[in-house]
Amino acid sequence: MADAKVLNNNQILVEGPLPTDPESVRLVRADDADILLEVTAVSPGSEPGTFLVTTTETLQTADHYLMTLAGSDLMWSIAPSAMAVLVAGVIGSALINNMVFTRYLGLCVFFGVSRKKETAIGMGVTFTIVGLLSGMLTWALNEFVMRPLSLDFLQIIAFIGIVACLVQGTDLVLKKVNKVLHGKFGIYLMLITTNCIILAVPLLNATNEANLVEGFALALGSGLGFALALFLFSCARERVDMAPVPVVFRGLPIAFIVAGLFALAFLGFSGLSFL
Amino acid sequence: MSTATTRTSPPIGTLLMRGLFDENPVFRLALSLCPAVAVTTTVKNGVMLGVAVFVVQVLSSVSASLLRPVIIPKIRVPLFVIIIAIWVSVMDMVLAAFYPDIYAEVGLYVKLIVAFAIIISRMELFAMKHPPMPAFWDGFGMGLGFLVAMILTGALRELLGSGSVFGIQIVDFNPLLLVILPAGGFFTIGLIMALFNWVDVKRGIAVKDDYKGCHG
Amino acid sequence: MSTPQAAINTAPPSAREMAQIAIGLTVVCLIASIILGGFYLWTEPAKEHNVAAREQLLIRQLLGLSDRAEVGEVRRYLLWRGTNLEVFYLGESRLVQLDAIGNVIATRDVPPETAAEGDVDAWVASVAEPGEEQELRYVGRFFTGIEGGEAAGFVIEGKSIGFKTWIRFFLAVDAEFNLLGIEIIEHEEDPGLGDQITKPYFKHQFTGRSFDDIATIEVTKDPLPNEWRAALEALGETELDDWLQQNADNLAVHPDIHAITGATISSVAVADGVKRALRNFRKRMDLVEDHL
Repeated sequence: MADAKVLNNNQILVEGPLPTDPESVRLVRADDADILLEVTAVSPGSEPGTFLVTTTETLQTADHYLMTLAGSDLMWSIAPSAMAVLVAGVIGSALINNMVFTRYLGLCVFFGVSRKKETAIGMGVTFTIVGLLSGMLTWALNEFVMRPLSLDFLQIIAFIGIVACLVQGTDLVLKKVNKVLHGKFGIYLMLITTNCIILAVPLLNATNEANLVEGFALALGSGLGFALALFLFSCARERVDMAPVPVVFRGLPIAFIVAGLFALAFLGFSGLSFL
Repeated sequence: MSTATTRTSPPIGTLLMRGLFDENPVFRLALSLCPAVAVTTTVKNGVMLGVAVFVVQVLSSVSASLLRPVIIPKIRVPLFVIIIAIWVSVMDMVLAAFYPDIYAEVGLYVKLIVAFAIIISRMELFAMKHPPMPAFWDGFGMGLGFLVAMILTGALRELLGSGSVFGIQIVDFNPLLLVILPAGGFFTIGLIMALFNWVDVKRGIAVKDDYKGCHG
Repeated sequence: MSTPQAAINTAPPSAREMAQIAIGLTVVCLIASIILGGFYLWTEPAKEHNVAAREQLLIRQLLGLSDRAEVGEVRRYLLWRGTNLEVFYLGESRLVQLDAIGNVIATRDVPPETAAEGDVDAWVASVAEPGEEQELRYVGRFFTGIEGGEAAGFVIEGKSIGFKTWIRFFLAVDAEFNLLGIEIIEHEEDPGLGDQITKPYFKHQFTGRSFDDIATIEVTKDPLPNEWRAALEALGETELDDWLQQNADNLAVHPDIHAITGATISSVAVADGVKRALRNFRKRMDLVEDHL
């Protein structure tokens, strides 16, 4: 398949020889391939060997289109590239749908280790790495074992089993390989099992029937988003702890209010589009 | 049987009060927070998840207590996790089958009950050391504490955010969008926590501000 | 959790203990799977039944069908043979095979045993005989409401990309393709903003529009006038026919869809999705209606 991409709302940039007649271009949505979209014009592109297809339909960059030419075996698949899906997925799960501030997951650990910047960074790094590993392992298990055998009802027990084994395994390996690193990050490893995000990632991937790239993006983005949230929050909290807060608000209540302000700020990311 | 099991168990009243107020899992221990913030935009969702947690907590506590004689101490934590995972999966399947409407909204959070620190910590700290009946009441109190917390937060948010409770219109006013927005959950819980502290101050108890996180 | 575990782990277990632990865990996992499998077998039929019942109820409500009416499902599949496309429509009793331009290649009767309880998707795949690296893909469906032997209306399943991910909706039309109503089935729009697409004052704005109205419908950012909003919210309590009579003027005065404040993208997504679903549905019906 040759290369083509959506240029704007009504135009597609295609790599290939310029067709003689707009009528010969068959442009369809992949899901509605039986309905032809009306093509009004074809014109040469800015670079040689490319051409522009103009349609009356409002095109969406995140959608999937197919194009063929009458009397030719060529077929163009117009969909976001794997790289675009990855970037959009990571940004999406780290900023727009931040696990902590919009899905409220992992709050337990979030409030527990955000008192100091140092612990926040330690937890963030550890979680991102282990979360990515477990995200990929559970994705593979779901894709190659549970879905083909329709063992969906064992999802919860299987996912938590994998996470627990992975955490124990990482702990053992780290202890043998690098004692210093283990001393620094070992205690965060154990806390990871109580972080809902690590379970939410495989469950969301399974529900959305994510492919490898989407699964990877969600696992990585969630980890990065959690680390970012934790770091930002710990910076604010170090200062709040010094501030003269009314007695009844001291400790957790004020931390929740601050988290609420962060959530409000993160709402600003909503609507960012990278596809 | 070990000596721990013969230890006298606290009276039912104390167990219930502990779950509801003194060690309320949401407002005091700040455990199992995710769903408390996420699904409480309406009372209905809050109740649904509250009941799910309640049932899982009671069943897990009782199971752990009943299985005391056969649980190998060295692998008790993985066993607890498996017990919880069984009950959560059962809850998940039952809710998905019989309450598809509400399940569509809170499904993910039902599955995530399995990672709630409150349940495993009650099994480890209480159910392992006590016979089934006190374990039942302890689980009952903690589960109820969670349920009440969910109802309280849900009612407050639904009332302020859409002027209704349980979907029934109560006051007619321009609703506070902020309360329904993700951020509103944090604000509401922060305010209720402060209220709990205020009650403590009135009772003459010093406010603790050293939250330790989810360790056991 | 971590502290007591770490304390126990300091002394390495003996071989006998290891075996005991391994056997113990295996047995526990087996028991767990058996318990869960049992519950699965018990709840799964109920789940399927309830999900289907919910869908049926929604369709009947949207079309305003009586209890005696029947609802039939038509599933659509696509098969690419190289650059040639074939389209399959599977009705309750017939399968229609079309080429890309809409000419009927073949029609087949669905075997009664497959129609009763078999896996229809697998049957279509076996009939379609996709070649190497060709895949028969299920792409969508619509429902026909049959009242007293005649088609009373259709419900079309559609989807559109919203603010975050797909918005899935049902779209009900009568036999003349006039819109009877829409219902949002699934969405992940922001609470308090985009999720207002499920509210009566938004979704009822589509009700009562003709096919031509929908084809040219626009989304406006003008605020929704209060009396029009009140009329839209009253639709849930009055019968559709009465409501249409009372609000014929209102519909004419408000030809556009008023976007939700702060959620224009979600509003446009629904409007575009409805527009496209209805246009495509009519084209498809023109091709296959007589053959199903």
